[in-house]
Amino acid sequence: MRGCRVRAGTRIARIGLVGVLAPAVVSQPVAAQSAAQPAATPVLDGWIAARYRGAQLVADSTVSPAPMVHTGAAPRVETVRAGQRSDTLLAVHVGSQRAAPMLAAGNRVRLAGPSGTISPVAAQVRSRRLFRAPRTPDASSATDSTWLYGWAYLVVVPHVDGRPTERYRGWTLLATPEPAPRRRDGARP
Amino acid sequence: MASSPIRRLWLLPLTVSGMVAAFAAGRWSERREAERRNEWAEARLLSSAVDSVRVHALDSLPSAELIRRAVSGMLRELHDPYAALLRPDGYERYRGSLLGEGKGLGLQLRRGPHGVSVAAVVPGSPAASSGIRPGDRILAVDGVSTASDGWGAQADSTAAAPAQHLLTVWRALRGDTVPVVVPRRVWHAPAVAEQGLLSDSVAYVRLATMSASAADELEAAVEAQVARGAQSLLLDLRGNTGGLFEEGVKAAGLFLPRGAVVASLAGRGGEAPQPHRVRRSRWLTLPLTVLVDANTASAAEVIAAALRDYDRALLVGSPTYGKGLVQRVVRLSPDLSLRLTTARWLTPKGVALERRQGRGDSARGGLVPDVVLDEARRRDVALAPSGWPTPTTVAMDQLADSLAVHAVRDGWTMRPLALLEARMQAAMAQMTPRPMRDPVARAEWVAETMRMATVRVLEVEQHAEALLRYRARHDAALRAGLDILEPGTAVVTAVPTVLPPLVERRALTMP
Repeated sequence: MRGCRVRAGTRIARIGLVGVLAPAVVSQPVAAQSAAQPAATPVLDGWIAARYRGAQLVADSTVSPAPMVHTGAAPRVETVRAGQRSDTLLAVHVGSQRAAPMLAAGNRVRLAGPSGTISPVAAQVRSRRLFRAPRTPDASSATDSTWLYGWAYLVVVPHVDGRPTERYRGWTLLATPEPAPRRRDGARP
Repeated sequence: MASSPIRRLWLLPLTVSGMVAAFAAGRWSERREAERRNEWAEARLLSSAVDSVRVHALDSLPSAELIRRAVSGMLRELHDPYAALLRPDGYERYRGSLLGEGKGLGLQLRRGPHGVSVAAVVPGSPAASSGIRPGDRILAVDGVSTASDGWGAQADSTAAAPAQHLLTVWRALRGDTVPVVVPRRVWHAPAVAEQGLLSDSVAYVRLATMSASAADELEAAVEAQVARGAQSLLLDLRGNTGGLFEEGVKAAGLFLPRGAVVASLAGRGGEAPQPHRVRRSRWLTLPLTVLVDANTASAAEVIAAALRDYDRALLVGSPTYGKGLVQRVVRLSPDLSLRLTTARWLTPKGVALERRQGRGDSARGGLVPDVVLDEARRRDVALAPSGWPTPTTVAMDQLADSLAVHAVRDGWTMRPLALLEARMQAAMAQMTPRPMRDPVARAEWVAETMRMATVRVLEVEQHAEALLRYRARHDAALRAGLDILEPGTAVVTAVPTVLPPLVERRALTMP
């Protein structure tokens, strides 16, 4: 695998390594990622490293431009960081095998409560990261079944009526269909 | 035969060494005697101090009380946060908690707008034997209304409480009000508070305490779930503040090889730590993940630390409490007992986990999980979100209650759960309070109120496993644990739904 992997003994050391290696990761050609990616990815990488002991980051280029999947459990908001005008949501969805992502950087998403109620608040995916984390304490790099694969997303939500959106922990991200490109001649497709 | 002077010389060193030994023994004995005399002198000093205070102090206390307070002060000066002087009721409570004795009625209550309602009934408790069910409302206890301010004294569980209580109960399923007599007796409070299958192959067992039979109960629970087809186990130790050290060793041993050291006890005096080994081993290969939080302590930490040190389980949640100490109770008299910290326990890798005074990583102690979550605590999914305005949460409680009773009485189908949720959502969407017209606020309000109503329906219908699975949606640690054992599994599928427009205001009448 060409992907860049980070592994270190302690979590603190890993966070440091992620910070060093992340620019190398994002400098590789990555399809469908916005210009905001380089700034946002270290945050996402640091979050993954802090959350999963022994996690390994995989460069997005090794899976793109694979088609995105729309089935399975939607990405779930695990962390909410309040900002002055907008909040940052960090969401994740995992599987037992490496799979295609559900969202791309730049996608607009809606938030759905754990019971499925869709909130009209709109958010935007700023970056994403494929990673794998151990499923067993003695996970071996050679044994794929001892790892879980996940996609982590960094999403930005503007405040609605000036209120922070801290309540969205545990909510899921739903991709909204991108508006069809408008034709210059005004003809309907 | 006459012995030569040279031959007699061998007696000399023997004689000298004998004399030296006798001298040393004499000195040692003299010193011990002096120490004993000093101890008695010090004890006499304490006795004189107590006498002086009793006789001369302006505001004195009876001798027994003075001595009790002197001992309390002595314990305080030890800076042992777990040391205590126990009176008979305190000793009985402590002993009862270690033995797993329940002394209340066995009701888990929730205060709501209609008074007090029953959230859960502990199996085997007097309340369960008397037929009280979740969803019932307790209107009065011994003639005192639960809505009045004076209510609460009935919750006292000391020996002075009456032998039985007369509860006035509004029954959720029938809608009638009946008197129920609940005897007050000692019963066994189970250490395994919850168990079930989270999916077809993932078992969930919550070990709430490490009381006298905790390991046996854990073994029985895991065995029952394995018999139902479980192929992996999510062991929940969140909120388990510990209990008996030996039970922790036994419980961890179920998943470790026979003979393995689970923990070692290091006492005072620098003696070699005493290893405690696995005697009974059961599931050596069952995939295992352990949930922990800041309230996982003591014997529960013994389990988590051993399973991690032997690479048997990943820990998920937040850092544990860090109580790496063992206490012992010494009975001073029939009326007084001392609880003292007598040993430190070490993990199989020889690490002491106790938290220390001060700040920083070295003072923190405890275990840092392999998957660290922002919010690992178990939360009551039947409650309104914290931080919302009280009038709003009261209205949510009332609506959730009313809708749940309506759904149960009207026989709304519960399978699939998504259908029940869809009906509830449609109803809730029409009952949004006036200040919640903002679409975002309305969506949040409906999502939260629907959750509360769904939980109440599952409680009343006593669908324990369905409730467990439903809770997994709202419990970050449960989901993260499941992600490790069965990545990508959605326990209860939610159907994304846009709220219907607000057509008219309706109100459900209270039954």
